[in-house]
Amino acid sequence: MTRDELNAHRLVKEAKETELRAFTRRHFLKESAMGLGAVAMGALLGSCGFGNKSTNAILYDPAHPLLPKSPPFPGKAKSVIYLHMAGAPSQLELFDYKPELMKMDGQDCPQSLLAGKKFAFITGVPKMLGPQAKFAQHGESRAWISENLPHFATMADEVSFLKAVSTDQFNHAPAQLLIHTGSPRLGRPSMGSWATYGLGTENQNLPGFVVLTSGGSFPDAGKSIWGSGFLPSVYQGVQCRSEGDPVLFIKDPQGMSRDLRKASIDAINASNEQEFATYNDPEILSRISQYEMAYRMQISAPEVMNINDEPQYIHEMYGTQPGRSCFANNVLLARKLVEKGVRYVQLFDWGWDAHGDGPNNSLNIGLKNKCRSIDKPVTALLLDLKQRGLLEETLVVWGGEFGRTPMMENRNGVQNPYNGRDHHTDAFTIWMAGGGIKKGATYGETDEIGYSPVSGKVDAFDIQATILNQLGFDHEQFTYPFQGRPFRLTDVGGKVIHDIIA
Amino acid sequence: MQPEEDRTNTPLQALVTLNDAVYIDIARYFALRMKKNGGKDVNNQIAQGYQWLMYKSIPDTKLKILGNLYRTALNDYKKHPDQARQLLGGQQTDLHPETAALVVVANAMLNLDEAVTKN
Amino acid sequence: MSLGHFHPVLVHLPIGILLLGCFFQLLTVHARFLSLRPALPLIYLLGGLSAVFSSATGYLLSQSGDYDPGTVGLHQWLGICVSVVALLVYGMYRAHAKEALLNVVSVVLIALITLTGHYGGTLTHGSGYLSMALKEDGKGKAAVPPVPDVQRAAVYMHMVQPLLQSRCYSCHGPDKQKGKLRLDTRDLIFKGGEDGKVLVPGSAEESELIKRLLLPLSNEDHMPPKEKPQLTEEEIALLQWWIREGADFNKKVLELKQSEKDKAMLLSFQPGTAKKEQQLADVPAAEVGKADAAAIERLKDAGVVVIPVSSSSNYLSASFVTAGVSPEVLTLLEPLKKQLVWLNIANTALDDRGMQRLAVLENLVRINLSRTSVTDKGLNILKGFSRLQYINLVGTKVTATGIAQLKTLKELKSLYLYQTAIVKDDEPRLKKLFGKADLDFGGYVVPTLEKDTTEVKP
Repeated sequence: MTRDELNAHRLVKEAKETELRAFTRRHFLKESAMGLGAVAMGALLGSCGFGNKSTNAILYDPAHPLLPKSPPFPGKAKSVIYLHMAGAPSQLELFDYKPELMKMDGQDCPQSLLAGKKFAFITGVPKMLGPQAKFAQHGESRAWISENLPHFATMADEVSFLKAVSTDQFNHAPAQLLIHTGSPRLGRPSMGSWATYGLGTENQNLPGFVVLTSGGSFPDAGKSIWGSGFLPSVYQGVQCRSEGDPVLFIKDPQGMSRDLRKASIDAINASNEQEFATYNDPEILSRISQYEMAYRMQISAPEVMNINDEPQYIHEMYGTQPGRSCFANNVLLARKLVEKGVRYVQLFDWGWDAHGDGPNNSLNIGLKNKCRSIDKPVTALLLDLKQRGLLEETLVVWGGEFGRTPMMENRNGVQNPYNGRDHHTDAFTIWMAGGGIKKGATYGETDEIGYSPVSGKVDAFDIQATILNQLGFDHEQFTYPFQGRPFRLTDVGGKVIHDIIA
Repeated sequence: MQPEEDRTNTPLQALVTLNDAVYIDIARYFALRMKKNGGKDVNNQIAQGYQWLMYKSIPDTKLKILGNLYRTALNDYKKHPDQARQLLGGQQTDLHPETAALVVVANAMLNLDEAVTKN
Repeated sequence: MSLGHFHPVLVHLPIGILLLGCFFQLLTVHARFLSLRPALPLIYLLGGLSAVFSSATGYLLSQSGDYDPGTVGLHQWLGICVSVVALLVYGMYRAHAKEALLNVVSVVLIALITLTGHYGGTLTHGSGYLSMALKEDGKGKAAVPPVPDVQRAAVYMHMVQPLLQSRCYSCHGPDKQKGKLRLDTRDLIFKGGEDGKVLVPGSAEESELIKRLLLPLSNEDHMPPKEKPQLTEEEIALLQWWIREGADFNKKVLELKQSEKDKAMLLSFQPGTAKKEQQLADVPAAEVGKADAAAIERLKDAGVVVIPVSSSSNYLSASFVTAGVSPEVLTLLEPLKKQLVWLNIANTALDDRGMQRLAVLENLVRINLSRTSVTDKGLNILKGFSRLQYINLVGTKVTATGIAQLKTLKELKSLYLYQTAIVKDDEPRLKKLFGKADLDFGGYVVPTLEKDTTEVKP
């Protein structure tokens, strides 16, 4: 175990212990002899929507946890592909065009922007930094996209931009957790887990929630971003690879034939069924289904997840690099997976944290290279899904965990050697496409230097609510009871962003 | 190797305990031990192995299931001795199909629900 | 004075009583109605007295000053005339006046009552109230007449003013000024009413005009009053945008700043751009009974994924992503013919013969036939599915001829034709043939730029 994993593990334990302590009190209160109070509370909670709507019924069948299920209302999206750029890509060099900021380039940052704010690394008075890329308007929607994404610029009329996304977390791990699990702390299920819990998956031979990473490093928050939290563990993300074995340990040991593997799994399950007959523990049923699924994955996954069987022109389109693990390969794999009925594919690409403390972290070198590595694949993904008639039913989301400051970063008061920006929570850009999202729309605006939202502000919960909405769920009704109260992905907030829904 | 602080019940976890080289190694040594100390009869060997693993005797139904698995594997390895050799891995002393078949059974035993949740 | 508020109540009495009286008087011309004669003096007395009380309360009401003095004056004097004449007629009866004279005075009284009533109505509803109703073309009360080219329209003259006229002038215009507010000229709008200014150029949030529009209907300060026709969302947005952009009275729409949302709102006033395209739902609105559970089970056993489109619907979606097709399996679909609306049978060996078995699935809305062996012949079957909105034929050997058959599908929204046997030359023709459906021929190329394979060096 790496140190980070140990830390994560300790944090999980802490979180669980704290929650256990709280659990006792809450539980006691609930079962207290103040019957009237309980009734009143019940009525209040009922009126808050925590009542007895059908989605509150637990949807978990341990013997068949991933069988496809219907959402409460027909959703436009059958699958989700979430492209998370870990590190936080700079919206000011990609989508949020701020000519006013150019005029302030090199000037001291006004006090009004610094007062009362916490920054990750900026200290003292930093200098304003104008956009480090040229912008132009694209498509009929006249969306502003920088020269860093020449291919994606042709997709302006296909996507909807959210230009005023806000968060309250300025560190990577909590911010990533917030966007994907609805809480900056460990312990909550990720969006993919909620999706597979609520909808199952169409293809029982493949995992329902797949995770693909690229960029050279894990996202800061680690595996918890695709963890199942308090949902049954079967709903956690399955990390797959676009190179080599698609899933770790999917290959049987040398000398064991497929038939023998099947026979041994059959034996294990037969024995487990005996165990279940004796003890009636539903977890045993779950284990039986996990082993069956493992076997099905062994059969199907290598074939489905082999991107090398794609024709050459597809490889050209995505810009894949056979033999290496990279973002383009992962994107192509994502398309293949949703084609085959996988419910939620989460891609993490690391390396967007352009502080400017080194060339790879700079806006003029590092960021440009990161853009080059994703521009073609993302464009190809949208076009390929579209031509296959899948974009209508696949929700694609792209974004980071926060934005970057209009000021140039000066770590410890000293200006960084390269152009870079610090973490910025107030305003950043995320885009969505497909799955019932409007084409060529923009929602939300920031002020003239891209510091604060001036209209259409949305946060992580709103994005989660919107994604759940496209899948056919009312985020307020889609809950899971844990520690005596119903939990939901969007915690206690979130509003569906109707402005970008077609 | 996958860290296992959480007893998670997922296909991924199943693949680890089924196919991770470390677990295959454990299965090999377990099989050799069963062969060495379990007597001549395969059923005894399996029963003994279960006893070591679970600190209780194996129910008859399960013994039957594992016995059948052994026979299937043995048939296979008698026909494909090179496969047996591969499954038995590094060690060069015992390359009998019987031993290979026992490794398959050991691998299965280590994956039984009671074995997996106990550890 | 609150007593004045009784005027609209009381006024009905003289109108009814006196008109009846006049009517009876004229009827007594015929011998058969002579029996009515004795009642007439009392009728006129009662009518006259109620007219007096009406006039009194009317006078008190007029003191509130909300009304246009000109019209009020006319109405007032005509009303007084009605009272006087009514009592005069009573007197004439007592004085045994000649019948002919009584008839004439009755007619005069009818005329007076009509005129008085007309001006009374004008005071309440604004002039042109009746004539507007008569002109109505039955399309509902569009406050802003359709603007052919909204961007070139003059904002105030063509859009804001008609809106204010139809929704506000009746109480805040030349004939009546509730709250001492008039909205019919620029200066008067800016002047405001008895509670102050109603418009803050540049800020819709601070403008009382907008605030009143946004209040909940139940709030008594909400405008327009809840019994009057209300403004639509777009109309309110129009006023908000107009005020936000400075409440200009001269500029054209295109000269003012517009966000995407504003553009959409403005476009809604232009005919031909339907406000919100009737979103054809993916699921039919009509109810349908539950499908045969045994049939569903049989399909599931064959590996077909069958689930309701939503947990509260009996409509079904079927997917063959982990199943193969065979004649047996396809026949299993038939019992679901009413409920099956979404069918994903892509990547299977489905051929034209198999399509025959699908012919009964008349309620299909979405069908994915991608990479099957269906050809033009099989497309014939699709013609019968009048509800089809989405057809995916990617990777099939269909040609333009086969596709052209499908133009009879009125609800078709998207047709995917990537990697079919359609040649490039056919594409424009097909696109035209299908009009509003979206045809996607795919084949998109993302060229490799030099930048894509090189890195920026430090």
